[in-house]
Amino acid sequence: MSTLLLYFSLFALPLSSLRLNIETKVLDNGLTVVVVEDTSNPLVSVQVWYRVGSRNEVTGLTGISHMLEHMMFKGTERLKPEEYSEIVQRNGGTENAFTSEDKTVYWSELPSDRLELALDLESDRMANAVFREFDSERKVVMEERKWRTENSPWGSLYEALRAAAYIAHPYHNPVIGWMSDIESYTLEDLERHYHTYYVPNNAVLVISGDVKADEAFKLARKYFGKIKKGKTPPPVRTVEPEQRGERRVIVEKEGYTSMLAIAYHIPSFTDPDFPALYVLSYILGAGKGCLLNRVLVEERELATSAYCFAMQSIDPGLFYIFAVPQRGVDTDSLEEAIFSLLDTLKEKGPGAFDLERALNVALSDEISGLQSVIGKGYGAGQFALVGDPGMVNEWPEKLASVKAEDVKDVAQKYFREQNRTVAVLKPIPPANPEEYMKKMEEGSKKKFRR
Amino acid sequence: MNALLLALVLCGQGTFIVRDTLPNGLVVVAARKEGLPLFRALLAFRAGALYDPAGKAGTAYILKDLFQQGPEGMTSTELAYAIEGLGGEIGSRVSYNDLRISLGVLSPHADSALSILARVVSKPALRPEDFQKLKRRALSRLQQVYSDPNRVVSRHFRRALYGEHPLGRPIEGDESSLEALTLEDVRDFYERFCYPNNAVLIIVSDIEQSKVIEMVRRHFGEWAPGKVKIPEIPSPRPVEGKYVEIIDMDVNQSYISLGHLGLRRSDPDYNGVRIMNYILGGGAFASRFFKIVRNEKGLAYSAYSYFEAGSKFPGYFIAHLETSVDNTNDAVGLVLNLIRDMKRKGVKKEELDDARAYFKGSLPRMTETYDRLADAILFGELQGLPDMYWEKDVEEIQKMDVDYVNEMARKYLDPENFVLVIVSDTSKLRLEIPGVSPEEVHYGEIR
Repeated sequence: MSTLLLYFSLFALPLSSLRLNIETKVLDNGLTVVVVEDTSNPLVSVQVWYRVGSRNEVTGLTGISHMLEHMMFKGTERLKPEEYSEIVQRNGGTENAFTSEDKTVYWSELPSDRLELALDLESDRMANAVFREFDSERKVVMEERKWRTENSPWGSLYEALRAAAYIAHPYHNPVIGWMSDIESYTLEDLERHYHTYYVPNNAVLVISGDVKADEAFKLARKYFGKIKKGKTPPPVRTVEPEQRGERRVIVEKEGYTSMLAIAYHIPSFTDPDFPALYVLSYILGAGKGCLLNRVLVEERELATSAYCFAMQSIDPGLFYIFAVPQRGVDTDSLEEAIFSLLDTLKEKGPGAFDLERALNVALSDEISGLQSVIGKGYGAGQFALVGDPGMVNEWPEKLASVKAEDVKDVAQKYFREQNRTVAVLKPIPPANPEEYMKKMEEGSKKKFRR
Repeated sequence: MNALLLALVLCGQGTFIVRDTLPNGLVVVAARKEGLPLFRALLAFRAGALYDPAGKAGTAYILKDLFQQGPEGMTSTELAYAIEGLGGEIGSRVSYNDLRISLGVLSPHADSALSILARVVSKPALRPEDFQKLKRRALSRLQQVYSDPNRVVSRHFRRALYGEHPLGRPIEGDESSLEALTLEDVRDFYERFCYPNNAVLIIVSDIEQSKVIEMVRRHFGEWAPGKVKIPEIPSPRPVEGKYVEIIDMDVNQSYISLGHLGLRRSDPDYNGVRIMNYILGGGAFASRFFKIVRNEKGLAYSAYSYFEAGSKFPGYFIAHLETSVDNTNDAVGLVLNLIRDMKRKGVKKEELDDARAYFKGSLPRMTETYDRLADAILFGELQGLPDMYWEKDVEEIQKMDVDYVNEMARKYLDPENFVLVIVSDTSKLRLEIPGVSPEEVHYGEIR
């Protein structure tokens, strides 16, 4: 087979050459400052990572971390709403923020001679945010929720799946929050959340790009050093109890396509099992040669698309599998096909090819992720959040050392029926088909008259 | 001196571009970028969905998927294995004007990657069973397209804007065009347009350009050229009057697209229009759309505008927003007012200064990654722009004054003649557009 001749192992590539040049210091107020030096482009990225997300939220206030993220763009004592974004943009930069289960991250990327400006702006809003235009921003977030969830078949299904997979831990809640909660936050709720979690001792400042570490630390101290240390934020206490038996959910939605989503509980991304689970997600769901695509889409033609991913979370997460059936295929047959694929992995482990392919693609993704200064900062930041940014440099080696036996072990350990939640999206045909058809016919006659 | 170095251009931060044309006509552009062991190749044919045969929309779309099903003697799984074994990824994309195959690998495997790419583009297997499979899949995917209000509004916007012109056909086809499509149609498309003399190959990697070109010559040199006849297609007609179309969907917000024809990317006015639109609706936080629609009124989650970069024909101007059903009339009215206002009163000096500063400062980001640099080079090749056009654009933009930008607004914005397409819940929507009577509103079916 010609493909065999073309096949190479990645391990010719010296992984050590990909190490990021990282230096870390902790300021007196508890702020961790991480600097990643990289001179390949005259650019710098400044990122502030707060250890707060939906996992820190309680009933009635779900989504408030995300709401706070929006409100952080409403100015400070010296800046007007959105002025932060305007200033960054005026300087040729780009910026945004995102909220996940575990973190809220603010990032910008600018020409490297604008580092001081970025630090000035970011430190200002850590200490002096002013929450203006609360009600109109609430509407924006409600629209965002509609767009992400109510109007999106995937969004609706994903939300239902998680809510069923977690019954106690806050990962049960969507990151954007339940609509009723978004509708009812008060300004006091926001202020409390901000003062509790946006303290320097609960944050990591990442500076990556064309800067000298000494200079970066000096500037970080100049702008962030004056912010007072806060109380240690309260810990997340709830631990998700072990799942005892399969759970199933059905979501009905007007539309044409059914969809399938499956989740298994897995441990935190700091767990020793995680690298094998991560590689497993590549064996199953990344690239065209992955098992889900090869077997379900190409060979058996049961699905139009199928993929999976392992949630990288501080508390125990989920391994997700998603698939859309081909026209005429029901979700039951698709589900059976997925389970039988998983059973094969549990029995025999991955084939040598499948494992090598997955490792090569995973490592290649890691390297591609380092193309931008944002990507480099992001790599260091996510590990800094759990204690050691330098772990980003060990990560490729951890992946490369995963063996077929490790993958088989984690497949057996976590892909169990009792540990599984299945969600199915059932499309509902239009309520009145005759009227619907008539409307469509009339519509088609009118269409091109201008 | 080697013939390979005939055309050499310095491209910021030590990146050099080398151009070469193989005897078979294949144009090669190789750029070196140091830092990571990455290799990115983009091969584009200068023909896309614009040349789908009448009634067969989706031809080029299926062809781009067929390329990924493997060349002669290789199944799709073997192809995926071969590439992913190199830590690589193959992709393909089609626009109205080009069909491109992309291949990214780790650079130690560049030679193998080029050998695979050459086979993929020069000897696609075009197997009947693959074709049938892809056709079924494309039909299946249409159902997903029809459930996605954003895709529905963009398909209908095109049809409304271009009518029966080939640019009005959806790239992915529709049910009747896909049903009518045969493997012969796809093969015919390949045989008419897919030759080295109608293609360009862009490579960005950390490998020296002369080595890259040597590898390209070795792997692509045998590929036979052919006669390519690009069909004559008339220019699309500009919109006259107001055409309003509503599509009913089970959604709880309105998806609104409003626009008219614009200009070509190669038009000398394009950069001026770009600056004007940056201030109007293109410049995210700096744009008037964003400030007013989102912040002052809290009307929408998304609001932006752009001038599509037309290639053979003038592109289009589009203003797009998403808002709650109740706010639809207000939002459309507001956007029309903003366009009218820009046309009448133009921009302020401060707005122009900010826009110029943005374009200047964002220059290093445009080519920061291997992927972005490869895309930028290919875009320039396809649009016939000079090497390093991104730097020249910024220089040009720095020289523009308020009068010139205002002239662009007067020349290229038209708040009286436009198409307006809205996907919404018609049981709740009571549309009122000044100057359009309810009888003139068209109701479209999802397609």
